[in-house]
Order: sequence, then C-alpha cells, then structure tokens
Amino acid sequence: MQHDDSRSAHSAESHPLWVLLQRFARPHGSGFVVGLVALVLARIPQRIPALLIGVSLDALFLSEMAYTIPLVPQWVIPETTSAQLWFTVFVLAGSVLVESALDWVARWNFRRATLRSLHDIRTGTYDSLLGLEMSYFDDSQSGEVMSVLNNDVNNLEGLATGTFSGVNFVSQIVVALAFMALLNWQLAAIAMLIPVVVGLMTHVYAKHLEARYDAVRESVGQVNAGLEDAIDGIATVKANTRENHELDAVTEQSEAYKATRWSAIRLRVVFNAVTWFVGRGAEHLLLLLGGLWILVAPPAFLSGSLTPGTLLTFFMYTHSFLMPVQRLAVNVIDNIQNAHASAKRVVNVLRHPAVEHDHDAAPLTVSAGQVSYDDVTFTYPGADQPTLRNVDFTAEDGELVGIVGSTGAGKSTLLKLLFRFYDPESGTIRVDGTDVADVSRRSLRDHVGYVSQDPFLFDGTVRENIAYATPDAEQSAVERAAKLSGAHDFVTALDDGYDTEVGERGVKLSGGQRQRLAIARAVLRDPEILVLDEATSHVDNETELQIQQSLDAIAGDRTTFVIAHRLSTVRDADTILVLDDGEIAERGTHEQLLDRGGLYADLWRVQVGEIDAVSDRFLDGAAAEEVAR
Amino acid sequence: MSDNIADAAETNRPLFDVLTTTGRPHLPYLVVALASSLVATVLDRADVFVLGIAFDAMFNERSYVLPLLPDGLIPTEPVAQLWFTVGLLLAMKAGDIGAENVSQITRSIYAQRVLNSVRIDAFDTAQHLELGFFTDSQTGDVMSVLNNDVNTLEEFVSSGITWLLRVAVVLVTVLGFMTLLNWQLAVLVIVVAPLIAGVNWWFSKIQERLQDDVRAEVGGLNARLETSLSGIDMVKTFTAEPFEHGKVEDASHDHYEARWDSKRMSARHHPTIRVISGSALVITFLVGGFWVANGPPWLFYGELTAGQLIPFLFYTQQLAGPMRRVASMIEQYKRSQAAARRILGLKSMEKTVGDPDGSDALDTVEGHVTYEDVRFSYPGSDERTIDGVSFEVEAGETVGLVGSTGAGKSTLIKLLLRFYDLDDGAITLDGTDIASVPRKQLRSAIGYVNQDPFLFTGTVRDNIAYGDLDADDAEIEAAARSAGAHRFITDLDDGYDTEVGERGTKLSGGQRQRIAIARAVVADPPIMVFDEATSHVDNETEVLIQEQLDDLTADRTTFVIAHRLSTVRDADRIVVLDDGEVAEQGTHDDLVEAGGTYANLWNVQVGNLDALPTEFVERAQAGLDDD
Repeated sequence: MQHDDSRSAHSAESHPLWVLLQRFARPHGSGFVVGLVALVLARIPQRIPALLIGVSLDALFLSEMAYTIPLVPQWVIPETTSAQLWFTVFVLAGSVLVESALDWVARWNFRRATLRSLHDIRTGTYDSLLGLEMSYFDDSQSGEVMSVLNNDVNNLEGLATGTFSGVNFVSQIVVALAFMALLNWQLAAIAMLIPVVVGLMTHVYAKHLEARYDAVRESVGQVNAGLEDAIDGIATVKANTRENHELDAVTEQSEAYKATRWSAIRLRVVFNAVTWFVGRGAEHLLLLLGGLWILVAPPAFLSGSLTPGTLLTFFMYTHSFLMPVQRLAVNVIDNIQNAHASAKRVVNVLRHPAVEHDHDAAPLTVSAGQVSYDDVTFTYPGADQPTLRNVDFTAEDGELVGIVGSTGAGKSTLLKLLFRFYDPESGTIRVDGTDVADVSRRSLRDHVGYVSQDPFLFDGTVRENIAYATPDAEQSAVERAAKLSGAHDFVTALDDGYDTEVGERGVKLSGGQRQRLAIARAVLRDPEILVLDEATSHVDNETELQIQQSLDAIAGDRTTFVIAHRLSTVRDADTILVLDDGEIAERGTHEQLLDRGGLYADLWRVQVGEIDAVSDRFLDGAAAEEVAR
Repeated sequence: MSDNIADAAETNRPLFDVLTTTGRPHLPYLVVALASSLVATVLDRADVFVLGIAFDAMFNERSYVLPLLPDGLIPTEPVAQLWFTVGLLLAMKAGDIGAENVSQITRSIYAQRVLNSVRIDAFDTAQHLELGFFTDSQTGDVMSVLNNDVNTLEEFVSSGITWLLRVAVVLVTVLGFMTLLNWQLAVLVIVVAPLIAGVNWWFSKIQERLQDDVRAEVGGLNARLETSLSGIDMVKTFTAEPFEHGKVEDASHDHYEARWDSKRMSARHHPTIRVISGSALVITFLVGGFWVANGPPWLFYGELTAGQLIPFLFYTQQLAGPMRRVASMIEQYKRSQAAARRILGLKSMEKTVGDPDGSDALDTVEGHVTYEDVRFSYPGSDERTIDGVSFEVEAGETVGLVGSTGAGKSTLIKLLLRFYDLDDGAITLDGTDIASVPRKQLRSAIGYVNQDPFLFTGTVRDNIAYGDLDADDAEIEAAARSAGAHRFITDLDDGYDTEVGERGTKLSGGQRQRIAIARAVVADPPIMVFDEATSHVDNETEVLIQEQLDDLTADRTTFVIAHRLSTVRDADRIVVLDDGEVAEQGTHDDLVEAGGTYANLWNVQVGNLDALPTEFVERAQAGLDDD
C-alpha cells in the first residue's frame, strides 16, 4: 500500500493533467473528439468565401482569367458568367450554412463533455476529501480546501475552453495557409511568417505585462486592506479620534496604486502599438510584394504568375490573422498554465495518503456504555511533545464525567481519540471491553454522540437540522429529542414550527436556542455515550443556566463526558478529571478536589474571582504557558 | 440594506453627476480621449476603402481618386500608385495607432485621477459617519461601496465610455464609407445591423435569466461544500459522509443542468449570428456581383466597379463585431449607474452631529463621572435601552457594571464616549456636561478597551502608539509594562517591531488584548473603560490580565463591564442594571448577602443551581426564547 501510494504520487507529480484526463475526461471522450473534429472541419467552409471572392474578381469582374478553383474539377463549374455568379453565390451560401452547422455541433458536443467532466471531477474530489483523516483538516485552512473544490476546478474548465479556442485559432490559420499554398505556395511561404512573428512578439510582451499586472493586483490588495482595516476598526478609530490619520494613509496608498497602474498602462500602450503596427505593416508589405509581382515581375527569387484575385484573397486571409494569433499567444497559454497548477492540487487530494482505512473491521456492539482508557499516550503528528501521557481511567456506564484543565492541557484531544480521529501511539481505549481500534470507525461513531462548541446549524428546516443525516427519522422521535433538550417549546412557538427554515437564510436563533437544537440532534440517535464539548467561557448567564439545567436530562443513563471551561458546569458531576500538561493530575468529586487544595482548587478560585487566593505556582504556570504559545 | 445607501442619492443621473462634479477639473482629458478615439476608428476603417480604390486603379483601369486628397498628389502610373497606396496605408495605420495611444493615455489619466478623488472622498465621508451606522451588515455595505463600486466605476471610466463611443463610431464610419462607395448598395446592407443587434439583444435577455439560475445554483453548491467542510468534525461524528456526498452530488447535478441550459443557448447564438452576417455577405455579393459583371440589376442604377464591391464585402463582415459587445456594454453601463448612485448616496449620508467649539474645554480631568437620570433609545428603535439611570462615580473609583444581555451596560459607556447623544438627562465629567466638551478632548481622556481587540496592520509599536501618536519608545514600553505585555513582546522575533498581520492574527487573544490595553493606556488617560474586555480569553489568561489591571487602575476612574462576575468581584462598587434601570448597587459581599438579582447571577456563576428561585430560572428561559 505504501509503495503503491508513493509510486502513484510520483506519476502524479509528472502528469497531473494526464491523470485527470484519464480518470474524468475519458468517459466523455466521444463528446470531446466529435467537438474538436467538427471544429476543425468547420474552418474549411469558413475559409472558402475569401478564396471564391478572389477567383470571382479575376474571372468575373476583371475578366482576365477562366474561372478555376484549385482541387475542383472543371466540369463542376458552369461556363457562362451569369451561371458562374450564381454558382459562386450558392457555394458561398452553402459554406456559411455548413460552417454554422458544424460550429454548432462542435460547441454542443465539446461543452457538454466539459460540463460532465467537471461534475465528475468535483464530486470525485469531494468524495476523496470526505474520506481523509482529521489530521488533513487540522493541518489545512478551510479556505485552502474550498479553494481546491472551487477555484481549481474552475481553472480546469478554463483549460477546456482554452483548448477549444486554441484548436479554433490554430486551425483557422492552418486552413487559411493551406488554401494560400494551393493558390501560390511561394507567397504563402512568406505569408506564413506573419502569424509566427506576431505570435512570438505577443508572447514575450505578455510575460512582461504579467509582471506589471501582478504589481497592480498587489497594490489594489493593499489599498483595499487599508480601507477595510479602517472601516472594520471604526470604533477604535473614533475612540482615538484618528480619522485624519487614516485619511492620510489611504491617500498615500491610493497614490501608490495610481503609479503602478500607470506603469502597466504605459507598457500596454507600447505593446499594443508595436504588435498592431508590425502585424498590419506586414500585411501591407505583402500587398506591396504581390502588387509588384503582378504589375512588374516576380521580385527577388520568386517565380510564376500572380493575379489580383489571388492577391486579394491573400490580403483577406492575413487581415484576419491578427486577432486569433494574439488571443492564442496570451489567453490560451495562460489558461493552460493555470490549469496545470490547479490539476496538481486536485490530484494531490485524489491521491492523498491520509485516508481513513477501515478494511473488514467488525462493527461495534454496545450494551452498557463503559469507556476505559488504558495507559494512553498520544502525540500529534509533527509535534515534539506528547499531548497525552499515560492517561488511565474508567468511566462506568451512566456516569457523568467532567474533564477540566487549562487551555492546551489536552481535554479536546482526549475525546478526539474516542472518536478515532486519531489513534494513540500506545495504550488502548475500550468500549465495553472492546478495543476501539478493532472496530470500524463508522460503527464506533454511531454509538458516540457529539455536541460541539459552536452549535452549527445549516440551511434547512428545524426538523432537518435535528434529524441530520437521518432523513427517515420519525417526527415522534424528533419531538422526543427536542423535548429532552428543552427545544420543543420554542420550536412550536415559531411560525412554521418544525418546518421553519433556519440557518444563514432562515430565522435567526439565539445562541441558547441553537445550543438546544444541537443537543437534540445528538440525542436523537440515542447514543450510549455522549460527549459535550463546551463553548469557551464567555457565554452569558442565561445560556449558562440553561445548559446546566438540561445537563441532567440529556445525560440520562448515558455515559456522558463534558469538557468544561466553566467549572460551574461540572460541579455536580460523578467524577471530575483534572488534566495538566497531558496527564491526569487529580480526580474526584467537586468537594473532594476542593479539599485537596491543588490545581482544581486554584481553577475554582479563578472561576469565582478570588484572584488573590490563587497560588503563585498557578500564576507562574499560566504566564509561562502563554509565552510558550 | 445597500438600498439605504443608494436611496440617499437624490439624482436621476448619478453617473453623469459623478463624472461632471468630481471629474470636472479633468474633463479636458476625457474630451481629448474621445476625439482621438474617433480619429483612430475612422483611420482604421478607411484601409479597405483605400484598398478598393487602389485595386480599381491598378488592375481595373479606373482613375485613382481619394476624397480629401488633391488629385495632383496621386501618381498615375500603376507601379507608382502601388507604392503610393502601400505608403498611404502604412501612414494611416501609424496615424491610427498614434491617435489610439493618445486616447488610451488620456483616458487612463482621466480615469485614474477621477477615481482617486472619488475613492478618497467616499472614504473620508464614511469615516465621519455616526458610529451607529456601522452595524454588521452596513459595515459590509460601506466596504462594498468603497471597494466594488469604486472599482466598477473605474472600469467604466477607463474603458467602458470609449467602447460605447467606439461602437457608435464604427457603425457610423462603416456605413459612411459604404455610402460613399455606393449608397444604393449601402441601403441594402444597412438592414443587417439592427437585425444583428436585435438577435444579440434577444439572446442576452434569455441568457440573463439563465445566468441568474446558474448563480443561484453556484451559491447553493458552494454553500453545501463549505458547510460540510468547515463542519467536518460534525460530518464524521455523525457518520454523515454518504449523506453529504449525496447532497453534493445532487447540488452539483443541478448546477450542471443550469449551466448546460445556458451553454446550449449560447451554442446557438454564435452560429445564428454567423448565418446573418454570412447572408449579408451572400446578398451583397449576389447583387454587387451581377452589378459589376452585367450592369445594375433590378431597381439599381449607375455603375459599380470591382474596386467598389471589394470594400463592401469587408464591411458587411465588420458589422457583427461591434454589435456583439453591445449587450455586455449595456450591462456595464447599468452596473456603473448603480455604482455611481451608491457612491453619491454614501457621500450624502448624514455625518456626525457637530462638535462644540471648545469653549467649555476642561483643563485637567480628574475623573468624577455622574449619570443624571439618563434616558436613551437607539435611533430607529422603540425600546428604551436606558430608562432613567442615575449614579455617581468618584475619581479613582473602580465600578463594575453587570446585568443580563441587553440590560444596557455597553450603551452607558457608548454614551459616555458620546458615540450618541442622550434623549434626556445628562452625563457630567468633573461637573461639566459632556455634551459641551469637544469629542476629541473627551475621548482622549478615556482609555477604551473592548472585547474584540482590533489591531491594525503594522508593528506592535505602531499599534500601541495609535493611542498617542507622539509617544516615544520609552512611553510605549512603559504602557506595555503596565499592561503586562512587555514580557511577551520582547520574546517575539522582532520585539516591538514585529509585524502583527491583518488584525494581529499571529498573536493569541490574551496577547492582543494586552496590546489593546497598552494602546489605551499610553496617553495616560484619567478614565479607563473595559467593555467585556476579558470575555474572549480563557480563565487563566484573565487572571494574568487582572493582576496587571489592579495596578493600572489604582488611581484611575475605571468602568468594568463583564458577564463573568468573577471579573468584577473586587470592584469598589458594583452597579447592577436590569432593563435599562439600576436595580442594585453595592460591594460584592453586600450584594450577595442582599439576595437579589446579583446574588442569583452569582449562584449561576458558581453552579449553585439549587439556590436559584424558580421565577429567576423561568425568566431567564423566557428571556432566551424571546431573542
């Protein structure tokens, strides 16, 4: 397994785009192929009009030559002028229609295949993400992760559109050059230089421009950051009466922005001027060359004949080169580069080694709900020191266990191990005697309920929030859970009761109400074990009261762990575990621990504001802890 | 919400107003830009016109006549004519590019200068708005105006304006040249332009609706992705992975459908336009071709040469291009109007109530504060937040303000800082009514620390000095010491010169708070206010901060607002607010003994639920549900 991952990681390093194409684009391959083929074929009818106009000029309007079209046998072409005119008109009309039809086919197929592939990439990547271990999420910022699903996937779309445009432009030019070669290969060889030279110039300039535009973007960022700072901190600005100071700062930044913008514009102006002049200038010089050839004689080392019609055709083709070449050299290459970077990030997620494996593990069965930690030690990946050291305790079924300690003592980590977000490096955690490492994670988590620090409601009805991920829960079960957590009363008082929309776009609930819904949610599944990770200590008194009150009801006969920042919450717990620096320093009931006069007693004094009574040892420890952070 | 801002603008032509008022001194640049753009466009379109005439002259034995150029200038011999033509074309192209450059440059100058002024003006106005304006949603709206709207306007002014003009000029020029060549044929072709415009407009209407659907689906999809990822611990503990996957699959599919609908429509758009402009070409060639070869067909009369037909063929194909942009340009114009409206609206919002001249300025401030029957409700609210509060604070006293959420604690302080004016009653400082003290003097006498210690982008030193811009390093250090911050600051990599990034995120909550305290203290104010200052730090950090505060506030009049009663336990006096009134006053021990509101709150603090009377519990419950 290890070997496999490293090998596939290596090949991902070298061809991330290829990996993505293979896995996600291939199933829709026919769409892409048909689209591109139609796109290329459409260029032929697109280029026919210029050719025919030139031939008509020669044969019909200047009356110099017979009406011949390269590669078309003469018997197809009528003999009289009028008939030839009609013939031309019909072929022109036909070309327009065929080109439009082929273009439509091309776009239809290609875009559908693109959208389907993107859908597959997005859902596939998301699926991989869900299966990753918690360590991945702890280490990355949520913005980063979202960015892969959002920006990176969108950039891949840019690759598709860029490829489409690229093929479009290239085939436009190639077909035109092919027609030109059919008419007069010598002049065609010279004409070919134009797109090449303009393309190179554009590409070089684009590089320089990019650097200047990066500077502009950064400058804009700074201006905006400055504005944001001043507005977000407006209370501080006003309290210190610093309005003028801020105004000066913003003025300065705005001036700097002007300057960088100006430098980019200067370069852009030069860039535009030179490319346009060279492009058009080359056209006109070709005209000169061709004109001399017709009026006088083939110049330099050229030979053969040239007609005005052919010259006109050449002019029409080269006149239409400029735009596609520029777009090709700038946009298309940009798209491909962006896509490459994004593909790497996407593939990193798809191939990430930190997957939660659960091969063939038996499900967990729980009868009582006893939880024991046997000499558990745990270090976070990449940390120097263990977060938990030789933790050893047993919670009998039905007990209410409080877990307290200073910040960073390891309280949350203790319970993360129960959920198997991480595995201990030594020691075992058991539920009813079974080692949790021997059972599947999903079955374990089915038996452990969780109420988090910041009760999280998502868009949906009250009912959907309580019955999260159990859409077939019965209304009676939902109401029972709500009554238990004390939510039923206020929910039924809402306009639509359980069908009321809550979350970002719904009714705003108070912190206490959200807390109660979150508790109902955890309780609905009737887990034998419950973990309450208490919010930080700054909740208002009313919510604090409500939480303390409902604790008894919710705990019921479950084995309940409460991670408490406010000691008042766990005052009546059956046992309180006091963690200090990853170890269980003290344990007992509230009264026992107070009598002991140790760490818990100090923490209690902080809780009740007896600051002078707090021991020096505690103060020194807190201060040292802070500097270390 | 942003409608509020937009509504404040009382004009029907916001864009015009912005450009002509703020833009007035720079208008000449805009005029030059538009004029040179005009010249460039004409020169650009004239090339095929000249080409046609040259073709006629060199290959068709016609005379070489160009409008605006005297005949004597033009050679008569074909080869010379060829050189002349190419030279002329090159010269015209050079002129075109030159004029275009002038246009771009003057346009940019105009845009940059105007937008610079607009941005700074808007910012200045925003800063001087009443603090009450900056509720959560409205701060976002203000930022949106300063950011997005100014940028939208910038886009429009630097490119939008000229594009609008260019489209008009191109059409007129093309039609003009066609008419010069042969007005009859031109009439035939003219029909095409509005037809293409009409088709484009029709497609864009449909796309608008489809794009709205796409936007909605994108929003829904992103919301789903984001919530499940930021709540990943929730997802895992509830073993909701399959559930979430199903949801995302559905949302992504809906998104796909919406986008496919839009793409299908646009796949039809391009070929449709091609057919129309292609038809124009075909018809022109048909009529023109017969005309040149066999003489005027139908109702037409007069002569048409090959050299006149050729430019026509080019021009018919040049009608589609500018028309393509019309829809998006109209969009941009509408957006810019809306942006201009909001910018003007912001500028006309009410500024802060004026300041007195300073005639009643105080010399030194002792810090004796009284509230005399103060009554106040927030603008736009019926409720009386403060309903008759009276109490007195001696200089140097530390007073704790407690009470349930919404009882009015923070409001009392905001009134002291004169963020708002009272409805009734008075607040005095050393006997003088604060309404007659200039805000600047009042606020520099008060050091204010709230629960969200906002640090600006800059160094630690900068942030502390914000409280007193003239403070030297010694004063800054002294302030840091008294806030208990000096030790950890010197432990940082660059000490006082350490950059504290956006909002000082690299520091812990407690550290940021102590820098904020240092900032409040550096100007040595006689009064200090701590508004829930330690509610976001954990118990241990609070203890550390409390230790320092004892020394710091010893000789200063101090107001401490806290939920956590442990914070105010040692205050000289505690004032308990309930529903906008003073319910109780006294020391901690007195109040606990009295067994009233404070005593109940204290029992909650220590987890002594059994001692709580039922009405208190029920009231708290009801209070929660009302929110």
